[in-house]
Amino acid sequence: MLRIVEDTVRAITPHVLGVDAVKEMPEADPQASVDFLNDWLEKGISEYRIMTNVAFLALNAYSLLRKGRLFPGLDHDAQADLLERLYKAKGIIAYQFLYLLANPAVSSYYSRMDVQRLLGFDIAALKEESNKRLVTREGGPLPPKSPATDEPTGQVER
Amino acid sequence: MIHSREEITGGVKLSTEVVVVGSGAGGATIAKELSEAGRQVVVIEAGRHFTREDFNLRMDFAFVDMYWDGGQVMTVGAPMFLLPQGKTLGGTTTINSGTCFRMPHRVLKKWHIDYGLWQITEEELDLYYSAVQEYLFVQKADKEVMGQNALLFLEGAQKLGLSGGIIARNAKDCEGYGVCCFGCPSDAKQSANVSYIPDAVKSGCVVYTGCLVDEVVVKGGRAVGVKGRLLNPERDVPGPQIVVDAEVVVLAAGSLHTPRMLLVQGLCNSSGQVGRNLTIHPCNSTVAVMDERLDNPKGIPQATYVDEFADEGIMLEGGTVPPLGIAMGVPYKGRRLAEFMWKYPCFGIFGGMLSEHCSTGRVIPHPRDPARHLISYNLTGEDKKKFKFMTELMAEIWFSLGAKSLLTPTSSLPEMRPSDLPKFKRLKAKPSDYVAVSAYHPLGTCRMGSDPESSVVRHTGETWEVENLFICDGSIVPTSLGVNPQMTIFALAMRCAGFVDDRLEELAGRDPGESVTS
Repeated sequence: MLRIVEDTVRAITPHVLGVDAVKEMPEADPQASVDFLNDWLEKGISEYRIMTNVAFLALNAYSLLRKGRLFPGLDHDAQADLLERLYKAKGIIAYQFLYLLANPAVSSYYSRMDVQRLLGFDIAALKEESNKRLVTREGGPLPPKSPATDEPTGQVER
Repeated sequence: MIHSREEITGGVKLSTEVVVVGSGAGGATIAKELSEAGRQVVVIEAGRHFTREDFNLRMDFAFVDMYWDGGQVMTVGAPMFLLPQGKTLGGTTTINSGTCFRMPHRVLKKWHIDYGLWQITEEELDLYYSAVQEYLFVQKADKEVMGQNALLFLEGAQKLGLSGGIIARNAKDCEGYGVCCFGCPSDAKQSANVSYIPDAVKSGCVVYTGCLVDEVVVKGGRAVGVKGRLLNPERDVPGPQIVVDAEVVVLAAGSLHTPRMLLVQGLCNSSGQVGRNLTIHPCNSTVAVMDERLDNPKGIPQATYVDEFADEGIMLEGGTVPPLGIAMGVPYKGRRLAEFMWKYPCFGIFGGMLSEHCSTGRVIPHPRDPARHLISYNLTGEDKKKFKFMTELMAEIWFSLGAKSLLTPTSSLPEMRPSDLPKFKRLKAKPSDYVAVSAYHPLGTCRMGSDPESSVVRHTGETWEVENLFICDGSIVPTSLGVNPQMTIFALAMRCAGFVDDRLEELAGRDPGESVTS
């Protein structure tokens, strides 16, 4: 991954996620966004690799044009201002462009087990429960569930 | 025996009666039927073999490990659809929702009239459907495992006077873990990897996973085997060669890869129809914010349907996804995104499917990588209106249930409140305005018919141009089915198995007489 893309992914992560606004949500991890993108680009298709790089380079070109500096070199407010302008754009091209910019941060954050558990999708608990309820083609119906496994897995209190 | 790529160190050379390329609904079924009839069968599957122990319920892992192109297969056109396809033992059956519908009568009638497929009768298909249903434990789930989301939506639809019901699925003792699309962790879902393939193997079928077939070997107008290569376990790069000599070759690599292989080789395309006539089911979804918790994704992702407009080609079917699946498509950033996602436990999620339509697309090989394809597809004509109508219908149902707002799939009005519905109905949404839309069930790219000038295979599944080369997957289905297609592919594969068995009898110089299904 190009250094400028890596720095931009790191810089854009807190702006995209905004998780400070919800006190219960865990902090964003900009390096995790970089690692996620690296992995994704390595395993994914070449077109996606090209489009993602183009999107991050385009953001930096826009940043140079509007603010005179590359995106990672701007202060927090200037970065926020720039992104705000972009997110006001309408239409499919703007949507796709912003999707590519946001995807590393969003995908890495919302694929975290702790974040998903907090939102009610407790992967570890479900896996444990499903391991106790294995089905075979030859076997008869499963026995009734114990009360413990009937407990909801979500942790969110609203 | 199931061989994994990791355990094979050198090249592989085999000789068998039948080689089947692909292990999804078509390939797995034909492998089981023929193996149980005493035939020597080798199955070659590009994906890897995962079991319930391997399924970790994570969408991100599943996409990378078990879907073609890391789950990034897209159509090119307006709109661009994400078209997820399974690349694992069992094919897409391993990562689908398990929905089972029989093809409506009107569709078979169309096959008779438009494609001359009179040999496929309703009575015969019914027999195959019944056998598949029994074998795969097809049944409606218990309400307690269906999930609040599915039940609430159906209730809302019925209160508005819309018809609908509970979806029958190939699942036994399903507990509604909500992760069908990432591999069933309890083996409740009777996908081909836990049903047809193990039974085929019990009868002597040999399966090679992690191998990509490049070429059908043809000599004197007859298919005599396939050549391919083992894929590197870490990355999909070429490894040692696999060569299988066979009396009959069955292509069952699905509606995208089967035509790609034929086009790369220039086989069976005198009609010019290979790769054409692609039908998919374009889908969009709504995410409603409700007051009460619905606790997605717990429950069966696709448990209920609304079929009030099925005759007009519109089906609404459940489609819940984990938080990651929602977050990736939300058009917000920062505080707004975080606050929206925090409401995930209260999201109502449902999908609409354009189940019969006039739009068609095309599959061509990728110009730089013959192992991949490009898919062109545009929504045209009335389909554009229907696609928008699906969103309106879902919005009406969610709002009638008290939703305060919902996300739409259009960039022109991404968020809708109840008061916005009239405005949304007036909107002239262009196909290119749709975002975060997906499509499923590709069919038709090697369609069967009675005329070799307009079809690729006969009603038996055998190609018109290459003897002993059969196609047995969704690509032979000549029209959109109006419903999810796996049942029909299973049924057609059972039917096709009989013709392959007959051919083997003929090759051995015997009268086919009474074989498996003829």
